[in-house]
Amino acid sequence: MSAPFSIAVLVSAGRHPVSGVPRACRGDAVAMAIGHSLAGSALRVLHAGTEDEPSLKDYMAYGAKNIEVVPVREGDDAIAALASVLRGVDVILTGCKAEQGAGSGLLPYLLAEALSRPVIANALEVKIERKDSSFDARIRQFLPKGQRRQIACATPLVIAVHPFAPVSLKYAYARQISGQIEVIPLTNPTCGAPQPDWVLEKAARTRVRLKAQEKKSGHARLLSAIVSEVKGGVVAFEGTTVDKAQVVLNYLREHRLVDF
Amino acid sequence: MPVALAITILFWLSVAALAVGLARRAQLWRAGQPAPVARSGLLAVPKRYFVDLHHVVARDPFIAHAHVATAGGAVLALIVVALNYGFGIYSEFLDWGIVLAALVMLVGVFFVWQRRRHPPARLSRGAWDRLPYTLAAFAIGLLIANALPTQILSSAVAAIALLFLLVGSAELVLGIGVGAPMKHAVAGLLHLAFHPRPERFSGVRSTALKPLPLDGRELGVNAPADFHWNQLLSFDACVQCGKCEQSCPAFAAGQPLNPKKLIQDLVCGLSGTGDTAYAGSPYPGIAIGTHAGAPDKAIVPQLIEPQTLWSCTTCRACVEECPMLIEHVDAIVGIRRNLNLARGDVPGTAPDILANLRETATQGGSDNAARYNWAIDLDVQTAVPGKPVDLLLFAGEGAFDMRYQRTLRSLVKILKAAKVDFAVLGESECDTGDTARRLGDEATFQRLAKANIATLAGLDFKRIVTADPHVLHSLRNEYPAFGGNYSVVHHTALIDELMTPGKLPVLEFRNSRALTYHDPCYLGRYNGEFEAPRSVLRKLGVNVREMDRSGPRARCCGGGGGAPLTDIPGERRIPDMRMGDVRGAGAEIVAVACPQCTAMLEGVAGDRAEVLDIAELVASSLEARP
Ligand code: SF4
Ligand code: SF4
Repeated sequence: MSAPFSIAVLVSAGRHPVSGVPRACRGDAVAMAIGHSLAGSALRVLHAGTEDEPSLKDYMAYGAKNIEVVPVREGDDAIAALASVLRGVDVILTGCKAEQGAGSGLLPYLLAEALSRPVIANALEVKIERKDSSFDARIRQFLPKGQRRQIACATPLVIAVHPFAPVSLKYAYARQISGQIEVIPLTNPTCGAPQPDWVLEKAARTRVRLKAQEKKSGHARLLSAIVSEVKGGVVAFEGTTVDKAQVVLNYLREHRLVDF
Repeated sequence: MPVALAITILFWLSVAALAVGLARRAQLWRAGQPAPVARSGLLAVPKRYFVDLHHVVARDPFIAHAHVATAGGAVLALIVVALNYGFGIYSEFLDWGIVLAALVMLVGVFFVWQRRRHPPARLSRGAWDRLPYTLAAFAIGLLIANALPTQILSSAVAAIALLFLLVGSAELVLGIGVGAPMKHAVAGLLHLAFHPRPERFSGVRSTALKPLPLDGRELGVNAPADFHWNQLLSFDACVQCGKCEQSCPAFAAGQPLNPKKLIQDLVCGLSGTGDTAYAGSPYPGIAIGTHAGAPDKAIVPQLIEPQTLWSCTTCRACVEECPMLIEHVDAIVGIRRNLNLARGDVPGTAPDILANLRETATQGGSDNAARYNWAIDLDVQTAVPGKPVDLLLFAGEGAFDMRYQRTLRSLVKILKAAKVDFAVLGESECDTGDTARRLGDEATFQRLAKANIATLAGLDFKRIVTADPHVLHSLRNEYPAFGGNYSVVHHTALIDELMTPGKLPVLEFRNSRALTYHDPCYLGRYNGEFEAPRSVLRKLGVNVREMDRSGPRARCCGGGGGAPLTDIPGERRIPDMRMGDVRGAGAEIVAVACPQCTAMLEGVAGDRAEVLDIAELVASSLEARP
């Protein structure tokens, strides 16, 4: 299937949030799936980085037959490099944010600025329709609290796809071994851009505080806030450690804070 | 002599027809992939037939006797006919041998006819229903032609006898060529000779899946011709007895799977036909007559729908029951491999689980470093290179499940009480890849297997114990193909062993509630371990109330083969049916020995028996010590 418009998707080096293992960034893989549904094999898949990035294999398994690598090293200006390659492309798809590095989600905006074209974020569904001599993109956009909105916009444009976009990702090992990587020679090497200076740490899971649900009336709550005796509860002085633990467990069970 | 001459001619004509038919059918089998087979298998056919095959058939004595009489009589008669008429001896004495054999056959046919008058639902009808008549024609033809003295044999009677013989012989010899019921005799014997798992005939429970070369021409089975040729041959051996259908939990749950139909569809595929002539039960919910295939056309979805393949729990109940020793699970997983590796087409939550396995080496996407968090307060040592231990505890995915952690903690308590020198594997343990493999993801399985084998190679231990039969099966039966050879025990076998010399001070299990035991497929049918769990329960003083379907014929809990992940809808849930079996045995406690079974049976809604692992039962009787 070839498309009359040109279309490309940008894929980044993903990392699993728990294990840190290289993988296809989920949001980018979803964007790629949308791109495939729009243009089939005419979709260009681009990665700004190095060609030995391990996560590229995953994108191949998810359907990228040929990944074009825009050589960008640490400290280089990826936006300028990408913009120089993508100038003539009608539709540029990206995920909403990367899984490592800054992960600020700014890339689609900066790229659109560099190319002087509109950007639409949080796209859930994308349709490209012919309008006179050009093309229009019709996009269903994600809004918080279950709201959605329909937007139309002329090409060329940049679309950042929301990770909840309803596509199914199909991972096939056979495609992973048959995929190819191609490095695009850059004509004008880019100069260094300022990079944030930080240290990476594993995200700590925020602890959920076990709190019994209050079933008291407003008046009782007011009382317990101003009169210390009304707080209630039991202080387990008596018995062995096992007995005391049992008191705690009983409390937790009673308030459905544990389920065993 | 004209009648005798006619029989001679008929005999040689039949031999020629049989040879031509066999050659034609063999051409179809040869479309399959090459497979290493030993020609000596041909010599072993009598033993394999009379011992191994008959061992299965004899579970239904009625049909076993009927078949012995029918087939035995027919073969005997044919041998004597070959001698007496084929080679032109024409001895009257031998004629009486034929008469005797024909009589035996006729008796057998009578019983076959009896069964066919009120056939159970599992039997296929159609062409199979005519068998008693055509076989009877053959026997009666032989009787008339040989029992009546030539003088009495008027030309009319002789013509009738010859006509009968013609009808019967046509049934016997044309079957293999045109794919009619009697095909089973020829294909069945050849299948016994060239069985894909010949080790089954030497008493080995051959249950490990064969490794798939990941650089192969085709990854898994896309078209029927991607099966090995002897697998294609094995499909042709099917007699459509429906024993597999009757035992299949997915079929009983109304999911769109019927192993008999699946094998018949593959026969359609290898012979380039459709399923319109099939006269058995359909895949529940999918109409007959809509499937067709060809040797080099993709199987899914024209010949078999994907939801059929993804309904299978890989419980092997069908393989256990099949009198023709057909390997359904190999066929299903072979096709799944292609769906998974070549097309990436896997339903339900399975793709997420497979991604987790690739990215975190756990099914739930958990932090692998937390795998032994359940043992954090138990003062258990973690295995390190250079420090020898007797026993290595391999927890598996159950380690992340709060319910199964109780079982694991009980097991640790037992090991400590028996003063066993053991260590856990710690965060270097990866998932064994069992689920990935059953879902057809051979690439992920092999990667995980190699990682685990590399870890285990650095450790010094004598045995591995696990509470998860799926882990047991992978480590014991499937890792050897990748160079990992270990002595692996299931926790029930180990506990049984510890209880024997009185190492473990257990009290009787003080509980008056009736108890039954559910055999996990991967412990029982896959590993032949039926006795150890029962022995442990006996030593606890528990009287096990067996369910109707227990031991080798136990019904699956529905948790194997990734079936809970692909989650193909049916009319009922398999665990609900199993809980029904528990109820039928009048039990209030069901003892289990597998994390999957625990999860599936505990997931049954409403009033149900309590689910307790054997380790929990033993540990609680330790607790009762004064
Ligand atoms: S596959 Fe085996 S059990 Fe099933 S119908 Fe055929 S012969 Fe019978
Ligand atoms: S393995 Fe079990 S679920 Fe699968 S076809 Fe056989 S009997 Fe049915």
